[in-house]
Amino acid sequence: MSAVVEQPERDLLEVLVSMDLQLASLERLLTRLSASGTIGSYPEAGFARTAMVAAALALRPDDMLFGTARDVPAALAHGVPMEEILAQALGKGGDPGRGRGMPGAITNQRHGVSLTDGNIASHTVHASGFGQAAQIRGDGRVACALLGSGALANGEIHAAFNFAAIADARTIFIVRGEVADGIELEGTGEAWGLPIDVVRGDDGQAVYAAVRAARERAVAGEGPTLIDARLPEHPEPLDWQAHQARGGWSAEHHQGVLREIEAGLREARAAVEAGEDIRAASLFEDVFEDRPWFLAPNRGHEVNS
Amino acid sequence: MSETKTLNLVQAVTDGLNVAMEADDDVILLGEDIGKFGGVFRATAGLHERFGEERVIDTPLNEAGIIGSAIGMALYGLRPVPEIQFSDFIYPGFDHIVNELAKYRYRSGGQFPCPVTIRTPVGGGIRGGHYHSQSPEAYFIHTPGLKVVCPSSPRDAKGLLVSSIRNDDPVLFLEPKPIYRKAIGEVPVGDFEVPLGEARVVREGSDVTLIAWGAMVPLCEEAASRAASDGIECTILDPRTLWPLDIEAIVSSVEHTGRCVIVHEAPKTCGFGSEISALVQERCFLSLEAPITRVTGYDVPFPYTLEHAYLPSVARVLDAVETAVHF
Repeated sequence: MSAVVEQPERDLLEVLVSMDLQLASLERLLTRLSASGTIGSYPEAGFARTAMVAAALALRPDDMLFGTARDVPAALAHGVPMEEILAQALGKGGDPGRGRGMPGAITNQRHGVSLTDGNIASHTVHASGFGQAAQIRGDGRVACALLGSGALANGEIHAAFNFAAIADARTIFIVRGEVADGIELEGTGEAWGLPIDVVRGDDGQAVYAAVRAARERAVAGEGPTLIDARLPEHPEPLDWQAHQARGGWSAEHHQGVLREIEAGLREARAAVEAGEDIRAASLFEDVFEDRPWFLAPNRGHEVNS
Repeated sequence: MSETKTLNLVQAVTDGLNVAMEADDDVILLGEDIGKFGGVFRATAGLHERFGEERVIDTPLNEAGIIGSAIGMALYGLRPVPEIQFSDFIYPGFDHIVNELAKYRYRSGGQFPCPVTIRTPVGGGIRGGHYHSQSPEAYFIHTPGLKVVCPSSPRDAKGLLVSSIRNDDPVLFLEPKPIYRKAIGEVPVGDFEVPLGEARVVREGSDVTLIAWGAMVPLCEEAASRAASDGIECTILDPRTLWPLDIEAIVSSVEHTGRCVIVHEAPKTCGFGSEISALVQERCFLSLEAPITRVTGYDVPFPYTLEHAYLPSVARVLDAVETAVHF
């Protein structure tokens, strides 16, 4: 099972609704497993799912997506298969990151995704550097960094915005989630030399359009954009009924989609759980390109399997 | 024998950067005043003119931004070489080094290597006070995922720097600024590498093994010369790559001499000398004729006026050597 639709332009609202249903199901599962102690802490995205998914859908597949462990919905929308997301969260062998990150801290080179459970804003500086490299090389790729309101208070943000602006980095910064600490962004862009686009975070189509425009700007060498896609005080959930009212799908179809999603998730989970465990010996791998003498077998580093 | 030219240590660094950049378009430099100005120590002089502003990038004065950007560039596929003007200012970028750069390969299961070589001057004795004199190697050696290199000669500076840049692991390349211009020697012309992880035997002797790096190597050479006049012969081992350490070279030497004196500028407690001491004890216990000794900076912040009282001296090294021999 992979991202729901390959061509979001065909009917963006339908894609957004479908993915939201799928992700709601996934988040319920992971939250349940987290609460039961089966997996580590999983940070739910909640209403921010809409902006995360819309942003990722607006990117090109070879663009690089940076975010935090809360941005799993964006990873799915950027192409990371559901099986790999589940394997990561469950710490199973199918995780390309080999079980090294907490649930949600997905690294997936094949799909250009790096989500962190580290410092809340360090990844924004990496996105700036990636975008600066893309500007130097001019190959059409961009970097996108998703961040929460709380990250705006972190000093890394100043470094990221400052470096990106002066380098015309091909980077899109997207603030998603709730407005925290009363931090407003309007009017601050001038200080950093960043244009700011403010959209409702619960309006997937508006977020998608803003990211598309920012992407075009970036690729044209016109520099980074900051998109404030935070949620209004009373966010509106993505409503399949609104989609229905626009001639989308019927109630019957909706129930069918739900059944398909639940079945798909059960199937994916079963496949992941039946897969290989992370090998104990892998503890000592990937520290360096080659294993130095102090990590070699028989150096007092044996572990229980 | 290949053609050589006479260079001082900082000129050798420049030469190494030139060679690495000429051979690989992915190698780019970034840092404070490294472009048009050529760097506060002139290590990047002429490179901006030669390679242009897209490969020799002047950055804002923000170390977290410099190192964080370098990580992003490496994830893109470049091979960035950021300069931190003084290692004393590396700490604003510490989180990026310790939590991001060092861990990226590991936390991604090997998917995202981060070939970043951070160049930064280290060491005291230049009237630099607290914030232009420190030797922070132990912090980085303590962090899994980082390689730490410190040359003591122009030849090694060039060869190790080229190797570091071409290495796919992150490297802290510590340049001993007290000997940037004092250390002068023959350096091979053109493309030239010194392999990482191999110590250099600076001097051979059968009585004591002196282990030192950076600006402490010439200091130990002077001490060894004076000891020789009293009939004590010292081996001087320069690890060059501090981590991963060439443990076999150290073990081989200490098994032969039976005595080990470690010399470094950084404070004693939990300095790299502590780790070397533990390793030697674990591996050479039955060969030791005397306790392993450390001659180091004191456990105080680096002082300005009393910097030469703080730093290891020839006299302190000689005292340690004689104590070991007469134990």
